[in-house]
Amino acid sequence: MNAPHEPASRRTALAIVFALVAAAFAIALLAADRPRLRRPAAPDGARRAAFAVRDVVPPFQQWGTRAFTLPTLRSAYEHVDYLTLPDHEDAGKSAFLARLGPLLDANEHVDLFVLAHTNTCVEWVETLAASRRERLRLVYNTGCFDLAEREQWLRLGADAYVGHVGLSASSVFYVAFLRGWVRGEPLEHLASEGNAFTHRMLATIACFGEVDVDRIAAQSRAEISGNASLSVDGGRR
Amino acid sequence: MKRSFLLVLAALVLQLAMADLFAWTWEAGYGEPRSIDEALEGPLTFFGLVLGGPLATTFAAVAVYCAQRSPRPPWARAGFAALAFPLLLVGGFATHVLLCVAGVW
Repeated sequence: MNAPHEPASRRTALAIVFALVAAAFAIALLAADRPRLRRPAAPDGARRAAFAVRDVVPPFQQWGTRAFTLPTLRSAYEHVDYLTLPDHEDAGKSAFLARLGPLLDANEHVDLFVLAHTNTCVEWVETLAASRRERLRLVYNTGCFDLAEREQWLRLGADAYVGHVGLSASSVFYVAFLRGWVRGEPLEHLASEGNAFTHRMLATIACFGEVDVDRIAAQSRAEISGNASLSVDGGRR
Repeated sequence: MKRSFLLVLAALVLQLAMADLFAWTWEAGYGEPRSIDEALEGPLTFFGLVLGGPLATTFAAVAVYCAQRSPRPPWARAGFAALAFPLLLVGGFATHVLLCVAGVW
């Protein structure tokens, strides 16, 4: 029979556990957006609303988008509505307008988050009366190539429009963008930070396979049109 | 060592439960027809993250501690720590996501 070995001392065992847990958290944080210690900008009675719309994608993506977006928006807006489109045709358009309209009527500002592949939401919004549209403040659009809609959105009444240049990995950008936006960071800062975050994430993914990081990052680049100093609380903090 | 294996198994079960709960939620929420209320999606997701995040991490960390304190050769204790590390990694990531969506950081 073998003699029993000496167990690690309590202090050594705790040190090993601490080192392992710290290493696990460090790796997890490197593979995701950094912690943000600034608190979300509380609504404080401001009549601002957010409307997020997701297109028809696999259930996993629909669930994941809603699970991230809804609580994040609720931390900074008095009114939040979230819609998963039933389709990209008439039913989708009707549901979109039926939800956006009342928010525009009841709030001073409405920020619109279009979480959809290349889309025609701008044409849907065009059918609303100008007096309602002018309450649109920020429009963020994840759609590939939808930066091309910037003039249309600004003409419809949006104060600022953020879109992506080409065939983009906008979902990566969106995580950093929304987390910074609800904390009151201005668009100009968020765009540069989000673009850098996207590049870093693509470089991380490239460690596991062949990815043309520079090309995808260039295609994914987000640009701001309109008021680049806009922030969720109007820069009150 | 037996207690350590039970704890690490419990951590694994918790993380599998998290994954299973997520899969059930997105199928029930976005399959045709929808079979759960929209309002339940958020709480179920949070609950899953708590199971696979802080709770599983605690179980895995306690398992490593117990293994280190057992009268086993150092190579066996190191092997056990390596076995538990993927669970700590998943737990760390789930905890980070939980703190993000809860608006803590």
